[in-house]
Amino acid sequence: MIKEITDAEFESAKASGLNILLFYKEKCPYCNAMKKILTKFSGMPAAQGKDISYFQLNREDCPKTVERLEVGRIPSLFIFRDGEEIARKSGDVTYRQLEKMIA
Amino acid sequence: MQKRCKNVVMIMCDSLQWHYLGAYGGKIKTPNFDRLAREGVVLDNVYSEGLPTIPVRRALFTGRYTLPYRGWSPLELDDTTIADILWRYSTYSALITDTAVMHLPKYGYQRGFDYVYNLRGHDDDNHYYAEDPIYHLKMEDYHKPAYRTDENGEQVEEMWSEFSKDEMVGYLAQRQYWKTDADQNVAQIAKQSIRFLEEVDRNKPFFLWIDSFDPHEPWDAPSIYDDDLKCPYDPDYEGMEIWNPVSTYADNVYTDREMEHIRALYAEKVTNVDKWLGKVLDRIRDLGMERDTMVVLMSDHGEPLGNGEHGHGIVRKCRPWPYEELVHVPMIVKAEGLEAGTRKSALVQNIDITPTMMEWMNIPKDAWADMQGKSLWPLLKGETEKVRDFIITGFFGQAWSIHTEDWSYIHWLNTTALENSEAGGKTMFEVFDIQEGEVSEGVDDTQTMFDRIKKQQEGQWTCVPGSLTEVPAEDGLFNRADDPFQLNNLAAENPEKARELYDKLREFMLELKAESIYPDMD
Repeated sequence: MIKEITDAEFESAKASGLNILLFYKEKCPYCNAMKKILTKFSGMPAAQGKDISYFQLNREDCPKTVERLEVGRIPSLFIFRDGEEIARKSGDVTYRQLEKMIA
Repeated sequence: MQKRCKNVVMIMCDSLQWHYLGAYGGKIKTPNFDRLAREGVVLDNVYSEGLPTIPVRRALFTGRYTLPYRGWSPLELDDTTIADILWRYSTYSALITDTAVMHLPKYGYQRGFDYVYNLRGHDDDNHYYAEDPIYHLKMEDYHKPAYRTDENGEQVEEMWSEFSKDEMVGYLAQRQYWKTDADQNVAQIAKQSIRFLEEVDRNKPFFLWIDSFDPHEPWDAPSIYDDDLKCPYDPDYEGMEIWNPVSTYADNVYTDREMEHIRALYAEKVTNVDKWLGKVLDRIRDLGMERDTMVVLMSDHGEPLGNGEHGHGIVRKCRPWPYEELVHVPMIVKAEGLEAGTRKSALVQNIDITPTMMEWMNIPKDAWADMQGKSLWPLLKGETEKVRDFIITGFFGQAWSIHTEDWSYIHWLNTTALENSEAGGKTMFEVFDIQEGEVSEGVDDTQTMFDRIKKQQEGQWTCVPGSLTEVPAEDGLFNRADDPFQLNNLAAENPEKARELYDKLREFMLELKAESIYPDMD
């Protein structure tokens, strides 16, 4: 459900529609949690009917995008609507926050 | 014709150690709880998630975790409790309690119950009697002081020794009139519960929560006040009857023999709790309520009572240490349709009982959709052997722990972060609004007293005075089969297993945090 992408696909991934991008690291427990959280969120009423796409980027493999977005702490979430960044959050997140961020 | 009523009687005994009960292999006499075990289902591996007393009440009332979200703090409007839910479903809810912290000003844990009975004077409520004259009992017969050397080289009583003495003023005033076991708090709670059962409208389902603070300290068991009785678990003891021990390291104050006797007094309290709450169980049967009533016996936590497996060195819950003797709790469930005398070894989280009770009472699932506990009916009925792969436990902001079937792991959080509100809640003194001018002996002035107390309290997280947020330096890994009481830390020898559990714990805590219902966590 969460598609793995790298620097090459970043532009097209965020270009149109509502897109949630997760920056993660291997073996990071909080990142693993975030993947589960996004998967669960995708099935919640707040996410239904909104046609959201979910992407994950391994921080080690996407240096250009990391630098461009100034990704700091891991995990980090970035939300784009039609190419524009509308929200970002690093560390923990609640479903309530996610709902507000995509509103 | 009225439809069949399905009732619940929850018997919550504060600080009841699971392994003291006969049904769990304990050596002390608990014939009534043992009988309940033979008629119901015993769960062998139940763990409270957030400790201690107040977080457990919140957890069980809401069916939700507290450990990622809240510590010792008042109930909030965002919390939806059993009483809140049952109001809408024609069920009469009742709370009968002497658990003082459920009655703290502005805490609101009694919110929504149709009927509430409070017995005053226990634990944090000991001030209720503190102004009364004391004629018949002497502090020095029961209080063994602990001393320190002050800046002038003089011996002064330690602060936490003073705290224990302060608690005892109210206790002595109240209990100087006690003579037999029928005078103990649990007896009044039992009598009130029986009265409720006899008078409740049988045409409507009822939910009765009996919250017996016994066997929480003070451990002034019947033999203290009855001249004809010796403590049945230590009849040859000749020393001081210490029933409200100083909440600190046992070796700082007490001899091994004294600690042994303190444990015996605790055990005698447990036997008395069994005796009196056993009468409630009997009355349920006499009144013909058994078929329609689910009975649950649980505790919120155990009790640190000295060295080794008794308490890792401490007496009373004066440290935020989620060790086995504190976090493992008994749970016995009796209900129609369950096979009598069965045992379940599955790992269970204490919050799982809440949706289980909701289902028994046929409350529509939508009404309790936000509960995070998992219904135990498939397990209780033998349809499944497992509910969870692991459980968590801990103290909010101070310690997190995970138990799998084979291992347990304790992670100590950075306690300096507690200075900035994570511990939550007010200091005990802010809650009780202690005025300037109230000074303990041995302290120079009120400002010094308040400064020291506030510095040590760092936000109330327990009902035990003088508690400190002091934790071990290293995380702990323990083999559950070989070392259930977590005395032998294997983290250094098994770094990979330690890391695996540490990661699993942190992953789960973040998943839970995402489910927060509190706007201030947004």
